[in-house]
Formats: sequence, structure tokens, C-alpha cells
Amino acid sequence: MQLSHDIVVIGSGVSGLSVARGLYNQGLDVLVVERNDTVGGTAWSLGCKATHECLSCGICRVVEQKRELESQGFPGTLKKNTGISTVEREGNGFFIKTEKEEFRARCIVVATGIEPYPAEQAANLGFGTYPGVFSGIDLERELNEKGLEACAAFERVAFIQCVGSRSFKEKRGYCSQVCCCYALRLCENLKYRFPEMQIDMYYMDLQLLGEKKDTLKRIARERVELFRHLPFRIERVDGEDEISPLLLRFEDPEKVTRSRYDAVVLSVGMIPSSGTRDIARKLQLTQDTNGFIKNLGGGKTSAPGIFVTGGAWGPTDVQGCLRDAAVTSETILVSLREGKT
Amino acid sequence: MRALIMTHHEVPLLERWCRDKERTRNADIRICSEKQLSTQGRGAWDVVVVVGGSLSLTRENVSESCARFGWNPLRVFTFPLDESLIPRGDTWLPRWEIFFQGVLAAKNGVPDVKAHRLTPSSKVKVISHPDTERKEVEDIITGMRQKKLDVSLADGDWRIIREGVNYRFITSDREEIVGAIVIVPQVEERFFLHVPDQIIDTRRLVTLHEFSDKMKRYNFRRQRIAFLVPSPTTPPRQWEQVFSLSEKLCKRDCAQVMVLCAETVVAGEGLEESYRRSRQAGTLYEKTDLTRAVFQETIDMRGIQVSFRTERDGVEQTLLFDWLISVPEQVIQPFDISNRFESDKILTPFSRPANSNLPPYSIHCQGMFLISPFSTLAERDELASGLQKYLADCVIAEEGRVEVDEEKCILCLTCMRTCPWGAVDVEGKLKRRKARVNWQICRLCGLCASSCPAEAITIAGFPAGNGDTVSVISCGGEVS
Repeated sequence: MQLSHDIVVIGSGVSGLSVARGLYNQGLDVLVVERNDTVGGTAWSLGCKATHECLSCGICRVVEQKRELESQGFPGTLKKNTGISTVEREGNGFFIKTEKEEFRARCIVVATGIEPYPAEQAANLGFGTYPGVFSGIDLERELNEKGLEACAAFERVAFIQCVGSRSFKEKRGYCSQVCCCYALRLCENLKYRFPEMQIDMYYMDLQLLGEKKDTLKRIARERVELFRHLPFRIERVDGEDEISPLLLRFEDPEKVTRSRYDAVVLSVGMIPSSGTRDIARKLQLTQDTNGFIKNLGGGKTSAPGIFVTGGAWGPTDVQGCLRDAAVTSETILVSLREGKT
Repeated sequence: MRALIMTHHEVPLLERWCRDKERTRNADIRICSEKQLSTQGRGAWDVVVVVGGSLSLTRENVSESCARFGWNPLRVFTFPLDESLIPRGDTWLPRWEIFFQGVLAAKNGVPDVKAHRLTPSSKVKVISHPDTERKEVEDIITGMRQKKLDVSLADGDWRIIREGVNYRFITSDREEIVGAIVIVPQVEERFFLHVPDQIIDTRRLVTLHEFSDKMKRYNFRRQRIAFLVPSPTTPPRQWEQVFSLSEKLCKRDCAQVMVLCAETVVAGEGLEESYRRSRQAGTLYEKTDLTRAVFQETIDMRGIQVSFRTERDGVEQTLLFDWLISVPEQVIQPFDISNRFESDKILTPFSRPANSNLPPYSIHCQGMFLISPFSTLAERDELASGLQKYLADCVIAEEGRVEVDEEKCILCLTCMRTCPWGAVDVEGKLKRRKARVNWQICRLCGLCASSCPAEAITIAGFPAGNGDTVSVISCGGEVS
């Protein structure tokens, strides 16, 4: 059976859903294709990080989106567990084949998003080998599900920034823009629950963006100890004394005193998700050196009729996604209107 | 609708109320004490009401529960469990019940009020500070015209009067109704580092702007050059210039370039890449607290010695430079339009509201937008599409939400002075005068209700005189 849609949105994360909502409200026939069996992408698995004040992590916008889905229904049609196999250009539109079915579309919106850097790849930092080494995303999910109760036992915690970003060796020469902010929000949450905890942060430069950057700067100044270098290895010392078993090692051992911690949090950067890389290859879109899809302004990609939004063209946070979604749906509407006349 | 009432212990009054189907209108309301909270708290509640008087029900505890159970903080309301009752119609009710009645009367937990869509006029006016660079302002306007907005620039002497969702824009010869106003303030470049006069006398301290001009005319072959970036909040735009200039200096002129800064900013599209290229070309980056650096000119006045302590390992260093380049930060200058605004309230045009429901670049005044003259093209695009959406989407105003009790109003005019939007005026004649809230302008911030000494103003569903429970509910968005 062959169906025809106006817009096919690939990916049902925050940006995909908001683009779909924006276009659906304009009366267009929207189809959202999701590869997994859950809607929501990366952001829906995270929780609010407010303490006694809002730290503007933007998750409340996600909660609002969930409510909107419940109350107003899904914008257009949703196809879960559907991966795109081939896309062919057909006249003014596209002919899309998935594993099960095939359909036509006038425009394609790529909203495949970002995913956290798999911390296992940084083997020297001991993620997955030593207990007590977490990634920032894991900690956030724990905060969402259980509320950080497991962290009560830690006295000294180290945050290590720029894991998997800003490293040209691994061809990730970009700043992920979200990790400094979420790490500081986690620090504030930990300090808020366990005021005795000592938190050290190892970083390159603090990249504070967004609305509450003054609050975040205050947290960095008052609540955590900042050290401007990154460890090249994390080791676990067993035996001697059971307290603070994780040892951070730095490049010049003469000057740095030994730093021992109970827990180490790796603030992992954001990389283009496997879906983004996959779709970019299938649709033959121009990518930049980091694997993100190139945005030629307003969400236009190198191929006419294919648009990109949100994390698929550069790392961004929830609010950035929402703003970008508004810009992209505007561009799509304009181009559809021009196409008609 | 599902609601959860959280209290500090079992309260028979509450239980009886919940069982009363007539009063609860068949809504699913649960009561739960603090002890049961861990088992019953989770769930999709439309409204969570905390009724209590116990010491453990503090603000912090409540917000922690929000974090723990995933409640939307805007949907949590706290009330004291006090015995003082408030008249409502024929009966006297406690505060939380008045709240509940308002909530239950509505569909989705929003009190039943008549919502109106008010469409603003499609015209947009750009007002700019007289000292703002004309070219940038014109660029902004042409950018918006490409997006098919009806934009014009304010000229000469003008005044603004608020008219519902629109503004009446009055110049000496004509009047216009505009839907949105875009303010382009003057942005001053400020270099806050104190440098002794002798250094300035050497004329070797130049601003970034001057230096990029100089670069075109002179060759800085084998010179020693330092960029001074004292502010950690220097915008990415300036940093981009620093990166490209330093790379060019190193490659073209074989100069020795050093960047002394508090923090490098690389969070931006392609910034990290140019930062790396600049470093590869041979620029040295040193992070230091520049406010403690010592500057001294050499005897021949051709060089400047800079002593500083590096942040990383705390080494005192003294280096000789031929040129110092000051990289200023950009500060938005106050551009007071309150004297052009025909009303007596205080306007704070330059603080950005934290509410992310508002269209981008909006300020604490509905329909006004603020954009820096040094904004990038992407930012201008975002503003233009935000404006389009704002003008097409209409503004939602809610009638009858704010009520003034005629009997209680003492005409102290506190509300008129506190209202940030200028929505309050006085109506009636002689002895029947009372404050009136214009629902077209009112943004439901609740300031008037919380500041009224006579407790004469109520926001429907919310009790008077309690500032905690009042929050902005409607700022754009859909009315279901």
C-alpha cells in the first residue's frame, strides 16, 4: 500500500515532535517515523533539576510536551519501530521505503538528534571497569528515577568535564555546549541534598550559556572547587585504605598532589546519534567534520526538500531545540508556499 | 481530573470533603500523608495541593518532593490549614477549598474563565537609540522585510500609548497602531580593566576595532602582541575576531601572539575549530586574573611589560610586548523609553524574563522585543520568525479573572503603582470609585493581589494576599 504525506519527520525527540506539532497545526499531513519503540528521545529520559530554585534546565518544557501529547493527541500519525531503508527523489517529492511499507512525501525533516558520548570509549577513565565512575547522563537518569539517594555514601566527588568533546584526536573538535551546564546543575543538586559532600571539578573552560548563566556561575564559584586540568587516567587503589579508592592521575606528577575520590562523574559530551549518521549517509546530506548534518541557514540542508532541526545539526539543549524547531517549521512553510505558486 | 492533596497527618475534614461527590464533582482526588508519599506520590497529577501547618512542610521540602516525584512545580499549590474562613457566596470556606472550587470548575485544572484571542496589529515599529549604528538597524529592518513583516523605523519625536494588545505610536504629524515594537538599544563596548595613564600615553594599547583596521595597513612582522580579554563574558563574536586575527598575525607576520584572558569561549558554531587553528598557528593562550596584572612601560616607550600570575600553576611571569590589544565586552546601555511611554508606571525594558513560553527576545512588556545591534544573522532570523508567530498567534487574555471587591477597595492606588503592565486604573464616580483591572492588558502576575492592603483583589481560583500561590499561568500558548 502506498500512502502520501506532506511531511515526514524522522525522529520523535523533542525537536521532531515540536516541528510536527507546528506543521500539524498549520493543517499539514505529518508522519513521524521513530526507529525505537518509545517516543521522546534523549530529553524525555531526563528529569527536572530544580533545587529550591529553578535552574532552568528546560525539562519542564518536555513535561509540558508530554501533557500536550496526552491532551491534544499526537500531531499527525506516528510509526514506531520503523527504520528508513531507502529514499529516492521522485519529481518534486520523495519516495521512501521502510522495511515494511513504502510511502511518498513532499518534504523530509531530519530530527534524529544527539546522543551522549559512550563513556566506555574513553578507556583510560575507567568507566565500566571501576565501580564509582559514572557518566553524567547516568547520574541524571538516577536523579530522575531514584533521587540520588545512592550518592549519600560519597564524601569526595570529582566531576571531569569535556569527556568526548573538544578533542581533535577523536575528531570531535567542538564544544558540546550542554555539559558544563548540566554538570553544574548536578553539582548543585548533590550539594543541596548532601551539604557535607566535597565536589571538585576538573575542566578546560567553563562554557555557560542560557538564561541562568549567572546562577550557574555562582554555583561554580561558591559550591565547587575548580581545577583547570584534566586527568589522563583514573586508577583504583585497593587494599591500603578503603576510603576514597579512586585516584586521578595528571600529566605532570611533580606538582599535583594525589587526588582521591569516592566517586568520579564524567561529564560526557554530545555526539551525533547513530540515527543522524545513518540518515545523513542514506540521504546523502553534507556533513561537517564532526558528523553533524550541515545546516545552510533556517534548517535547509544541501539537498532541497530535506530539512534538519535540533540536535541533528549541532549539539544543543532543550530550549535550543524548541527555538530551532520554530525556525525550521517556519522555513518549511515558506518553502512549501513558494513551491505551490 | 486527578488531584493529590498532601497533608501532614490524617485530617477528617479533608477526608469528609473528598467523599462528598457533589462538592468534588466526581474528580479523582486522593489524600496522602507524608509517610504514604513515597508509595503514592508518583503519578500524573493535574494538580497537587499541599495543605498543612507542620514544620516539615517547608518550601524546600515541597520542592524536593517535586523533584522526587516529577510534579510540575507550577502545578503545586501550598495552603495553610488554618481555621480562618473566607466568605464565598453564601458560605464561608477555607482557602484551599476556594482554590479547589476554582480548579474543579474547569476542565484541565485551569479555572473557568472566558478567554479571548486578541489579534495584534500586523505592523511592527523599530525604535533605536539615536547613537546606535544606523547601518545595523537598517540591516535588521531589511532582514525583517524579507520575512514579509510590515516594519518601519521610528523617526523624530515619538510617544507610545498602550492600547490593549497594541501600541498607539504617536509622532508629531501622525498616529499609527502597531502590534509589536522592536527596540534596538545602543551597545557600548566597555573595557573595564584599569590601565595606568602612562601605558595609554605610549599609544601601544589599541582596541580590537582599531587594531583590525591597522592590520590592513601595517605589517606587524616579528612583533610581540598580546590580546587582553579581562571579562569572562566576552561575547563569542569578539572571540571569533580574536581567533582569526591571532591566526593571521602568526601566519602572515610571524608575530608572537599571546592571549591573556579569564576564560576562552568556544561554545558556538565553528568556534572550537577556529580556536584550534589559532593555537596551531602558534598563538599562546594563558588564563589569568587580569585585574591583578601589573603593566609597566619600557623606558623608550616602545614596549609594555606585563606581569601576571598564571592561573594553572601560579607562576609569576613578566613578558615584554610591543602591542596590547584590548578586547572589550559589549554592554547593553540603558535606553530609557519610560518618558516616551504615556503612563506613570516603572518600565524595566532590559531584563529578560525567565519564562521560556514567551517568544524569543521578548522583554518584560508584552509585545516589545529587544535585539542587540551586534546580533548575528541567525539571531535576527529567530527574532523575525518569533515576531511572525506572535503577530499571527494572537494574545490570549482572560476576562473576569481578576476581580476587585467594591466593598473592600480603599482606593489607596497601591495596585496602580505596583502593576508592571499598567493594567489597573480607577473607574466609577465620586464615592463609587474603585480600582479596575483591564483584562486585555493584565498578565495575571498576581502582584496587585498580593500587595493589596485591603485584600480587595482576587485572582479567580487563588486566594488574596498570598503571593506564594500566585504564578503566571497564561503567557501565550493554546486555549483548549
